[in-house]
Amino acid sequence: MDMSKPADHPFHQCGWASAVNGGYKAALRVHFPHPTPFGVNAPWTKRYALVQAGPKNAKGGHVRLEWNPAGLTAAQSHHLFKQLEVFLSIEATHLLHGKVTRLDIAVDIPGMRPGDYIWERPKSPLRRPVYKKGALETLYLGSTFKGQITIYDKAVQQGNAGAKLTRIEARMRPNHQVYELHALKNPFASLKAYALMKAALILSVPHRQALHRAARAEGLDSAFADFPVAVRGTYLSAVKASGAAFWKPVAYWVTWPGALKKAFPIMLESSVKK
Amino acid sequence: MSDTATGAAAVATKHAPKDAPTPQETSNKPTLIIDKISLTIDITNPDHQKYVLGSLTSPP
Repeated sequence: MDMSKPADHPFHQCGWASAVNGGYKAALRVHFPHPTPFGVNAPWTKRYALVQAGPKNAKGGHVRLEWNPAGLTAAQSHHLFKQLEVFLSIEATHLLHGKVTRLDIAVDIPGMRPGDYIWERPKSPLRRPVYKKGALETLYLGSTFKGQITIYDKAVQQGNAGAKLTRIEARMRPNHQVYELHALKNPFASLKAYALMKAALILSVPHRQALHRAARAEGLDSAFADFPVAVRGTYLSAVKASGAAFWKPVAYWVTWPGALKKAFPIMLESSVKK
Repeated sequence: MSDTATGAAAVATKHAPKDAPTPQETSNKPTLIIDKISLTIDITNPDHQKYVLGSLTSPP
């Protein structure tokens, strides 16, 4: 079958579409069906899972899967796993023992922008802010290899710049098997948010705002580095006492099992043992 | 309280920001989502490997 000819493509039957092979000998996209199919000729959404097989360098697993489970219905997730089972004989036990090479976990905070608070991750010296028109649009904390926290303006990304919505995202390379993910450590636990603008500092608003901009770009220690030693500790303590009440990483992590089960309904449906 | 301390407190009160942003308290508490996941599956059976490659090359 010539996959380059759309007319010959089986996309309308199972949601499969050709994909660039890249580092693999073969690759396809498995499109997710609409939650409510509205027509036999176009039942597929633009969203898909990438399925690759046969690494050209002969390293790693034979099959690679990549998809974004956020927002998928149970039926859409079921479609993917059913396709893998029926057409590739990849069953739940294969999936549960698959090695997770990339995992992005996110939480959305409405009513704020990334630059409204000072974000600190004590054990991540790498800090990279990205500005657009003077506003902090994205802040990277840490490297991708060791696990990165990315804080970005989700409203801008969605094309709704008038809204306020910030996404806090942990990008990891856990290299755990799927069934081990329930025991993953909370990647947000070390992330702190400080409300410098509300801290008990004896500073006028212009000075406070200048300090806020310096701290959100370079971190608290750097922003206060030039302050006299006699007051530096007091000021830092005041800012650190201003922890933002909305930021509750422990409470968010309580929802991790639910997010995991939503992405892998096979964990509920399957009786497969580890 | 010294005059200096009283004055500093007055300055802090006068200049305290009144419009600092506050994230919305919504009835729907933020929950975690998996935004992206990649995994590799180790298939060791040569016949199964050929079957997968063949299926991806000539899909249904």
